[in-house]
Amino acid sequence: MKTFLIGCGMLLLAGTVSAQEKSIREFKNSFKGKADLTTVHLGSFAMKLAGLVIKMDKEDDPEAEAAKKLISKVKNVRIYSFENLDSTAIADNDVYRLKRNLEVKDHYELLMEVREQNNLVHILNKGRNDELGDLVMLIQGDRDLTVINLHTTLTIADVNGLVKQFASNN
Amino acid sequence: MTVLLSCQLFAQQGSSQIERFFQRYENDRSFTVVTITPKMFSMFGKFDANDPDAKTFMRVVQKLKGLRILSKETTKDGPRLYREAAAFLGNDFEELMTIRDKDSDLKFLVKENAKGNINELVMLVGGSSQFLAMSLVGDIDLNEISKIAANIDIQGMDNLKNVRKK
Repeated sequence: MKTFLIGCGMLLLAGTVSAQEKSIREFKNSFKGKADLTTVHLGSFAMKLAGLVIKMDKEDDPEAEAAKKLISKVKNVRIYSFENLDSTAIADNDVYRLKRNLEVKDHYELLMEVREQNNLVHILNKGRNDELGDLVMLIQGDRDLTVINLHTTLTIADVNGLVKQFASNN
Repeated sequence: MTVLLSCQLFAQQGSSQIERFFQRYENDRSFTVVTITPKMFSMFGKFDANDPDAKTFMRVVQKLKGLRILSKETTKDGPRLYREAAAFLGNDFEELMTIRDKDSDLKFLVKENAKGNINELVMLVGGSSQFLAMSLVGDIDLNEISKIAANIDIQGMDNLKNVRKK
């Protein structure tokens, strides 16, 4: 039984590692020790649990139902927060290199970029046709950088459903 | 590196002279920069809307290929930047409308493709305390753009309501 559990654990871990984008992993490794790194990983079980909590909290609420449907299509979420950066630890070029690697090596496409004063946000996705698919958000501040990576099977129709649900309630 | 990447993005959207102006200032942290890519617009276009206003919005957005905004708030350089940006626009662009009041100048310019359709709209705003340059690329219908302008929650976009073709 113990061997079986360890085997299952190893399989899950292997799945977890492969779900992490290579570009992000390389980036994270290259800044080890140069910033305070906080990593949050919510796997599919955590997402299912979140869906369950929403359902229990507001059972007959159509908005909660739509949100639950959306959450059920999020396979996992990874958040990397680099804080207390040395002013030279992560330069603009490093973030641009990460963005470029995500585009070239991991086949993400840029959706939008916004820069206001020292805050810079890049949003990229990887999905076929009407799939929102996998999303990466790079949020760069003065002395911090947050990388959010979502692996989803979301389609535009799913997001559309949620938008319609909220619109019908307003 | 940044300039190289920007060049690539512009190449995707169809290069124009105003983009050289964007390149000059996009790394200046005192400016706000917004870039929306063709992929984002194509995703907007897949939304299915019931509301008539939303339907109009989606129909217009489906035909757009890219949007770039460069703006600077609380600056005294508005008139200078306005003149500088206008100087970048050569013979490719045709002046559509100019509005001047005591506080600011507003200019709309368009570039037509071989078929005579508008494929780039540039808006410049130079005020006593602000500057904004916007480049919208795609298959542009001025009447439709002016209709949806009020519903776009981006600084300066409300000026587009003035652009309706006579």
